[in-house]
Amino acid sequence: MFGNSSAIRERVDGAIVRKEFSKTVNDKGGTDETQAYATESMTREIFGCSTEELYQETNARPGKRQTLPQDAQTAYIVGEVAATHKLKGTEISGNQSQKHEQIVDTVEQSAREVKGIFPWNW
Amino acid sequence: CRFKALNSQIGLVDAYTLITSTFNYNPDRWDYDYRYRIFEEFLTLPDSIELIKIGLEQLFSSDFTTQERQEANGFFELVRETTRGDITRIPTGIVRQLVGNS
Repeated sequence: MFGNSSAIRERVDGAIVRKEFSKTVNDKGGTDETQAYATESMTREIFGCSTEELYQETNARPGKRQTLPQDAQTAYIVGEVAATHKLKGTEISGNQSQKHEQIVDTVEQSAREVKGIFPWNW
Repeated sequence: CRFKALNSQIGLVDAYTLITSTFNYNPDRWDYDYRYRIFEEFLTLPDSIELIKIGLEQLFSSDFTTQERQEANGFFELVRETTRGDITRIPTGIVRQLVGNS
């Protein structure tokens, strides 16, 4: 189930989760814009607002996710894990523009699947 | 170019994304030829320099490996070429060091 048992084993933290997500977007053919729009769609699904609004309304420092409330940070981790798995399991093909759209849609879809976990969405 | 600069904050959860992704240009990108103007427009936005500074602090923390920092060479080249030696345009000691070392 877990494949290569000789792979490096180290503690997984939020930074690693984020990097894995970004790497997966790249591997699937996404660009910098794909990263941005995929993340934005994840934010909108899970939190119901834009990334900018989230940081403003929680008085967090833009660009510094560790200044977000803990619940928000963990929600992003959940979202990124879900998105990474879904992307890896989805075939992304076509030209640049098509891949961009498919990636963003897949991430949005994965966020929709997990948003119900969080109390603010009950 | 201004439009692209304004869009740089969409989905911006981590400031380092500006360095490792958004402004980490390579010749394959459609906006490669516009990168100087886009970056200069970006620098005129309020708090943009602050975001770059936070991103650099993050990138040079223990969360990142040397290799990952090197992968952001598109950004460092951009800074070097944009400032053309006039480093006071991005007034942080960290960037001064980096442009010298990278």
